[in-house]
Amino acid sequence: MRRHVVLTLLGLLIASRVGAQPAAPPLPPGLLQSSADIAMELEKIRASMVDLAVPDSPAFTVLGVTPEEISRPTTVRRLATAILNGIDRHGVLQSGVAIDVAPYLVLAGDVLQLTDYQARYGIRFLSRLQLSVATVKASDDDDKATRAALGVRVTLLDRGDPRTDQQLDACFDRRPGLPTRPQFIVPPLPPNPTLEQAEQWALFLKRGLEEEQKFNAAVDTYVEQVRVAVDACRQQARRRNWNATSWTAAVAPAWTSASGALDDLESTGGGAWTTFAYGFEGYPGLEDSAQVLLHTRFRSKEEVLGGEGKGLSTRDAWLFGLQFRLGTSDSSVALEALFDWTRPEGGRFSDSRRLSVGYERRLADNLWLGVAVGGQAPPAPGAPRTGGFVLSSFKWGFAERQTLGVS
Amino acid sequence: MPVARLKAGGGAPEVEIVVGHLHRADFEFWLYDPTGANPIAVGAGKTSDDKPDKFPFPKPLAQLDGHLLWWQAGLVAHAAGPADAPFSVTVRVLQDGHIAGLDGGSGTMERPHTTGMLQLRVMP
Repeated sequence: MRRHVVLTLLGLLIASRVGAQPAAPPLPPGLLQSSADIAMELEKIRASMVDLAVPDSPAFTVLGVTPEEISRPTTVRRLATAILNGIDRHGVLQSGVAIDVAPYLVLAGDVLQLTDYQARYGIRFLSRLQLSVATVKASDDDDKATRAALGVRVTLLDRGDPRTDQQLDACFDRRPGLPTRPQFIVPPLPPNPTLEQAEQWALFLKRGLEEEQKFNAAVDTYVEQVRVAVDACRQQARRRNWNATSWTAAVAPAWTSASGALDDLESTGGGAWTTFAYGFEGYPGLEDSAQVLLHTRFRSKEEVLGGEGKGLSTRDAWLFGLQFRLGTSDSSVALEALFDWTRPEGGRFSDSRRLSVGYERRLADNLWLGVAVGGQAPPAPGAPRTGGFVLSSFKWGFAERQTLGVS
Repeated sequence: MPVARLKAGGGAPEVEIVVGHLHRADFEFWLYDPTGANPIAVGAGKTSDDKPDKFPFPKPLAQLDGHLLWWQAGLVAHAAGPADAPFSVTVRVLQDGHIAGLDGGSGTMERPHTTGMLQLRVMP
């Protein structure tokens, strides 16, 4: 019911922003476009409050793509299939590849034990390592040209890691117990049985199957009850750990192949990101409600749209961001300072500074309302630097996920 | 059905569970007589604590021939993941440090429960 109300409200708001007339139910046409509009609003929010998180899939980010279908293999077989699907038999890259994988979990998952993970940093590091691979058609006119990127994301520190969260473990301990074992099970048929043995075994089989049926029904109930209990525990953990200290980093080199062939790849820049988030653990009053983020990123040969009619051009960009967040897992206020330096191809570095204040609130599971006010202090070319900040943007919109912070 | 072949002259056997993919599990082992009845508890626990997940059998080795070891495990992933995220459980019967029998279960976390059994044979 609540979600319906929120979605209706969202539809009305978006419809009014795009000029459609809100109408009495049935829902206005604007709502039908809500998915596209949400994406647009999300972009606007991001223009004011830069996402200071290290991208989950840096290869996609460096190529500037948001794949609709991402292959996330969880077994060696599926990983091999995903890789083989990305390259044809002549060694030519297929465009549209998007793979996101935790390779250590895929390769060693069967023998990876939780207690080892909790005890050994090396296993935690390897298990959290994430690889992403993406290919897209290059933006020039050459049909065969393909761009490719390989992303590596590492979590160096995570005090909010659910696998090391003892409170979460304690919560899991309170979930329903295992179903009661069957009273009878079916023994194997003796080799070369006599008629008497076979008849007796048929009786064992009958009572064993009856018990198995009862047991399977109990397992169904157990699985459902556990699912509810476990989801509740995870939700509590998410609220508890929203501002935990963490440190993540990623790199993603990119290449272009003029012919599309794997052996024709030439380096075309890439990106590097790192974010350190400090959660004030041990400081009463702050440990549950505040977080400071330090973020830096470098993009080499980043493709950007030039001015009107200029088409695509490339630039190098370096950004440093500092954000202070105050709130809860469901709503927070953030003060953000950004310093960036950009250099167009063949040009010189120019810098800018921005200050923003943002607020966002969870309206439903996948719906966030965000508001941001931003000021900028880039001096006009040749003009003296005044040192003041001018209100340059007021943005609001809806997003499908949290955009402030790193959680 | 998998068979654990135990040496009559060997040491006391034990049963152990190993849960992969960084999951935690509650588990239990039961020993049934050769007709599949009269279960006796062998051991139970959870893989997330510090206690060993290895248990001796509640009957002398000489009396184990033909008995059935039944087990079940209910798994939990700490973080919500895709429904097709795999799980892997290995149950092994050990004697004198060697694996005498092996069983296991695997599946996806959409249904995070698995069960199995082994027949124990005592070889002269």
